[in-house]
Amino acid sequence: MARSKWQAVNAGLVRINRGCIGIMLCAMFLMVFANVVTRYCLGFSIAAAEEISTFLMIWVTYLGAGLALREGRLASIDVLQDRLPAKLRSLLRMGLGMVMVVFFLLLSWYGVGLVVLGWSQETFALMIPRGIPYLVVPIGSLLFVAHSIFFFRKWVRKDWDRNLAEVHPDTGEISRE
Amino acid sequence: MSAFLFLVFFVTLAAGLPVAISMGAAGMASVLVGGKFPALVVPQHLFNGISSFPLMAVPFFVLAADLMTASGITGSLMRFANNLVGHIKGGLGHVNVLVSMLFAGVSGSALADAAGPGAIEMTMMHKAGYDKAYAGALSATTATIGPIIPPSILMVVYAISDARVTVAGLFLAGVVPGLLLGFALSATNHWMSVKKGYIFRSRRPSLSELGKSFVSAAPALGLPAVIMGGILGGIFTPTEAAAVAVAYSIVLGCLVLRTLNIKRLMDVFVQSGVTSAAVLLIVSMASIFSWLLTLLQVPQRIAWEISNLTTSPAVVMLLVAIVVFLCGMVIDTLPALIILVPVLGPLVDKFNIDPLYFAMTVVLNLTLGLVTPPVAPVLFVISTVGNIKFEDLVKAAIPFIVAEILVLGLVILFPPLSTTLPRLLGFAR
Repeated sequence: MARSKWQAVNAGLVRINRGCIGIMLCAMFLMVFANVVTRYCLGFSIAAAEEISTFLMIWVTYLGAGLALREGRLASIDVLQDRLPAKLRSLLRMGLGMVMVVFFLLLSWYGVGLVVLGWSQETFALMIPRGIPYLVVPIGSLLFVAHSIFFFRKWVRKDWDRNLAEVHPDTGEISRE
Repeated sequence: MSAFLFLVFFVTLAAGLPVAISMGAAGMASVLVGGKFPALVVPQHLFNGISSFPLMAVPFFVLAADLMTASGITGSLMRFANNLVGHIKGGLGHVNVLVSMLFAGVSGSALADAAGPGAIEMTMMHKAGYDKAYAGALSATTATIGPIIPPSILMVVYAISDARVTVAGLFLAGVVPGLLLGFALSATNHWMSVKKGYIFRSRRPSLSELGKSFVSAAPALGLPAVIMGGILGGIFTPTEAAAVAVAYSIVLGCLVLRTLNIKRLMDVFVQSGVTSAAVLLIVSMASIFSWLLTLLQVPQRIAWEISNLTTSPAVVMLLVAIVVFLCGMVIDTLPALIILVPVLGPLVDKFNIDPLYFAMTVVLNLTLGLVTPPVAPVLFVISTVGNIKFEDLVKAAIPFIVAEILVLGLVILFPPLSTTLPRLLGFAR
């Protein structure tokens, strides 16, 4: 029972996270493209759109990092660890997983400090507190920690999530598992 | 402090921590242990390091390439290439090279090429009777053309880390070296095919067949024209051009080819978002790392040491080439680029080297790192996708890698190869 709940939370987290990433990237594109259109057709562009889309890119980066981890897309050099005996290698990967968790916990802690500091400054175009875009550092870091914990056993086994697009060998179409 | 920075970085890197996190962890550990700066500088640099509008070209180029692949346009590119060069000896091999060159005009990354068209070409070649390792090796090495022929994500990041060059200038500088790479790989394929007896070729198509396949490939071929024309004509910035490329791909996939619907579109957005996150995380984490390097005067010290060693720019270029090649062998391309650019940058001023030429040699050199073991991401992708033993793949790739190293040598020896085009069009400073 507890196990299926754990899995449900895990699956829900991934689904919501993926949705956020897709919508944010889409919003970035729409804003930049709209700015191109308005600049060349109407002769003006919206500075706020440029700023929002830049902030969104940073949000996509930090909110997407956990998903990238799950799909094995954070490049690493595994040649040395692959030469270790299986047991030792698992131990090493556990250690590395913990290093990631500690790093992002620290980052979220200092990220909160950055948000507090940024609350008294304003962004150039939107004139909102800089602390608002800075929020992604603590939020993204904690999200990464959550993904690391849910994914920990699979990380140790390098059992990546199969969200990578797979190209059909004949038609060239992308399919998903 | 610099010793500590390098110690943490190299130990965690060698242990197999993701490169991005290695850089971030080394940076944070040095700041905390050094005690000279408040820990807040870490999140601040991570954030500001990617708070850049020009950098947004990266996710958009990723998105445009993913959309193009998902809309199935790669298939028509391949038919066109097959009609064009498939009837020559070693035919499918030449098709492989040509498709990579055409696809390079759409995508900005080698991994996108290897996982997309590269994998398909490998299967096609294997079916036609080529040795699997040979087909895989060719697909892997042709994929390295991607970051050299514009647009190129590597070049966008280079231009952001080094104010001496512009994205447009670098894009133009890559054209001739990119073509050279294509010729070199094609020539090697021809030679190997003759030697190994791969004489399977396709029937020479009629002119109308060729014309038809050109028409169906034209939309994909039009994209690089839009991107480059827009940037060079001063109509768009690279970021805007990338956004226009995305719009172009969406219109093409949803309205013209009708292979994309809203659901597929959303899938591609998510997939590209995750890819971009992985790339930009490296840029972000590298910013704290390279800030510390600069602060510790590491680049200046290296430039000074080298100037003690020699005063000849040619020797400097040779030294740089060796250092960059070794880095490319063990570190992934993008992090290597971000670490090396600020470190090697001062050499350009000190020895009065053309910055575009310098940048081109570094980018080309690091791109070769994608297929040089032990750390060869493109070979890994091909070996996984094609189910080929890594060692066999490496062995089969050696002649092609040698051909690419020869091209690198030419580009280093003859600066005009990279500087003429940007200079003619007025994009060199």
